[in-house]
Amino acid sequence: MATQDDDTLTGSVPDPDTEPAPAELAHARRFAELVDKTLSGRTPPAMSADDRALLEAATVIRATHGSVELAPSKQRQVVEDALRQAIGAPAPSRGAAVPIARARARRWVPWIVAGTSTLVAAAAVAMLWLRGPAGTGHAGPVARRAEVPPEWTSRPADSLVGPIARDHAGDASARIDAIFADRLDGFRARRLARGGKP
Amino acid sequence: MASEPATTVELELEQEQRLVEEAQQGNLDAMRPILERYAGPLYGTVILPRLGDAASAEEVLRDTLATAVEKIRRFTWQGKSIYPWLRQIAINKVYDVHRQSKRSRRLADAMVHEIDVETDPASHADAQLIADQERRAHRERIDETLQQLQDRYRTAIELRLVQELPREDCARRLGVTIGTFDVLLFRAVRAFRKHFGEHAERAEPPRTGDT
Amino acid sequence: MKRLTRGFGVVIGLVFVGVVDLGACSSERDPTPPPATRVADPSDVIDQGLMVALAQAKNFHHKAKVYMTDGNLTAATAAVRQILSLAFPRGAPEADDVRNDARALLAKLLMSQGQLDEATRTIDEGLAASQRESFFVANLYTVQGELHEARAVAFDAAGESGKAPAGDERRQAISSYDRSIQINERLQKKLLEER
Repeated sequence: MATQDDDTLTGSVPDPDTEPAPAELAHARRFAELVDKTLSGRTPPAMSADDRALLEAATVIRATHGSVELAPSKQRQVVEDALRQAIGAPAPSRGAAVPIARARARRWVPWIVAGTSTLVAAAAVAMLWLRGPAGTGHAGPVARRAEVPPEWTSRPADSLVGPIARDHAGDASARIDAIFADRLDGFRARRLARGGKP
Repeated sequence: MASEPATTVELELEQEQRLVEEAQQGNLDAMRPILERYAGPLYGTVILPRLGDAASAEEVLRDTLATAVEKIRRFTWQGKSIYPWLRQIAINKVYDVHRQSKRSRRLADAMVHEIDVETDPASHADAQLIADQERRAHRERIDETLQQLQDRYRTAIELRLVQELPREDCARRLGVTIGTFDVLLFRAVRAFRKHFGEHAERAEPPRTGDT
Repeated sequence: MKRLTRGFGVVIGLVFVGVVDLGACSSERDPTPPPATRVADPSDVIDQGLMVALAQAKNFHHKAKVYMTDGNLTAATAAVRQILSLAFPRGAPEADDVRNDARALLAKLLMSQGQLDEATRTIDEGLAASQRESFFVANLYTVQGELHEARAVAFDAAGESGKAPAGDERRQAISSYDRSIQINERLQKKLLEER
């Protein structure tokens, strides 16, 4: 006798030779596809509660036989994220194909060689972010962690560079110039905010 | 069972102690090598077998590592690896997840005992040994349950979930169509889940010092 | 029956889950007021190491440009290759971007010198080593497409015997260009959403 679909977790399990009803066949196929996707690392986010419970049981079996390990790249990402979470830095977006690092991508503007007004303004803003002494180690209240503007951080260059047209595929020289100029801007702003210290 | 030359273990412990002390003095990034070393065993032997869901397990691992960094000043070096401490943080995080889940809400009322995989608290069992013991303990329980299943159900699980053979191969080995194999696996996992639950309700509280 | 519904979850708890509070763990003690720490800058700020690496990459690119203007493709190739050996701070996303950009240029230089296999290897290594999608990875796929087209042209020259492999290469070129387009589209959407 076939099992009713809504008794997936609680109903009795038929013998192997029992002919399955169409509902059970359909459910079994659906579950097989879930297992397929999970084994290839593509677990679907949405599924019924019963299917999730069964998939968890399947994963527990696999995990105890050492079949499920964290990929090295994923492991590094998790460690990085954990350190950011603990230290308090803004985290890159997770779970997406492109973890573009910072919340608001800044449009690239040409780096201004002369004139300190931009840098002074950046320093003034930076002073509002900083708390406590740096690296003194003496007894006292714990210094608040510095919060750092995105422009001061190492981050992907996608937002700066934009899509690369085919006829510019080899223009790496122009792009490195833009990346260097942009990061130099941030590097100098941070140094200025820290009173010239690296 | 993994074993390493004592000198290697001692050197690793020394390095670990140095890193912990550096982190406790304020350089939290010193925790990085420790986290990288233990992320794998924590995920594979502590968190995932208890949660069964890879996405949740990753979140719990991340929270575990972050908590360890945040609370590193509360850790006292006792001449053995920091891994048992990390492991306990992970288990508590898993418990939090279960407590929030409607399906296992009763857990919140039950004070349960953890399998103590360290046979001697004073021993200097390294992390690899602990992880191996833990994995063995999990596997024993899983295997006990699998033994209770009908042969074809047990075989379906072993072929598809342990050996990770494609459905077509599994079906061929069992002499059935793919559709029939899908039904066998579906019923097998249902049966496993039921037996595992019944076994737990009959089980004695776990012995301490169990390996 | 409801007992059994929770049975699996219960067994997770009964058998596996520990509830020892962190405070009761023998490896901890009650925290005394912690000493002050130095301000912990996030580890991903732009530091001197990154600026040095970027400056060196910039210099090698300019060197290569001068050689290319002179028609000395061998020296230009060598200069671009050196970018791949530069040491970047660990985990710096710019490292991937700069290296992938260098690989794209290197592959084009090799292609122009008829070294299609070496060019292909350069692209393949870049794609394998990339930690995330980026416009630079999309660019690698674009150059990969151009490599397939170059191979197709080479097969065309072989006459009738080269017709089938030329067709294959062109199909693969289209596939590479498609990958590039898809990555670009995903990234642009993501960037727009984040603004």
